[in-house]
Amino acid sequence: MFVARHVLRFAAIVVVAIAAACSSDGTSGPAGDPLAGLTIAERGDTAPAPPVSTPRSPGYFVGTVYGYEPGPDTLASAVRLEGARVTAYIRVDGSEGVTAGRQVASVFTNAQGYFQLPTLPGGEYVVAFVPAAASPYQGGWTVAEAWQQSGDSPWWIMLPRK
Amino acid sequence: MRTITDEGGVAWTVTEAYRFAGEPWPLIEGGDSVTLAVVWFETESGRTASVHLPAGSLETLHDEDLTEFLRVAVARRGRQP
Repeated sequence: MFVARHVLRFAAIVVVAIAAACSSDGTSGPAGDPLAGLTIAERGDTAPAPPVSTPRSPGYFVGTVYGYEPGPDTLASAVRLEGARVTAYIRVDGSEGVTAGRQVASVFTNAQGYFQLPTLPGGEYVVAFVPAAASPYQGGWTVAEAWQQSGDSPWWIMLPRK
Repeated sequence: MRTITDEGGVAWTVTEAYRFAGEPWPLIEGGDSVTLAVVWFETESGRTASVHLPAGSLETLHDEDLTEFLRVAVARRGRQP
């Protein structure tokens, strides 16, 4: 059992390395979809999910968009991405998984890579991060719930090289 | 085992660590290189995350720095489940 667990963990590490080396891995969305060609991005926030019993009120999303290089998991080698477009869409769950519905807000990151979307009605959203066309970094998207405390935990969005 | 607490108040404990000797990963600038250690963290609820650190740095990093590594790791590769 102990050995099997280590084998599985090592396999997971290898899979991560292979995924990082393959630019087409992790992308999602059909052609014409706003998520097409974007990689799935994690948010890097540490906020717990809102309790199920908590009534939802409007909330916003805030954070910083970085480009990252292979190597240690540190901000020291990450690049703050200015001019990245951050767009929120209504989350739609279909037979092919999560897709982007109607666009509800869009902003650009400032010189520090910082963004803040306007306050949105409480609910589930898809948020896409698209660097400037000349950027060497790949766009990404994530899903999140807007609620009264969603803006309390700024996101760190880490985008890989193309 | 070492435990750190993230900004959300969740405790993450180091459960396993691996060193990848002989395969240095280049840093983006300066031509320097570093051998990575992959450290696994786990929470009481069973969430896990793997964090890539410069080898040998786990003992010398302050908790707040290690928390940053963890948060960047989650942003880059996610957590399970």
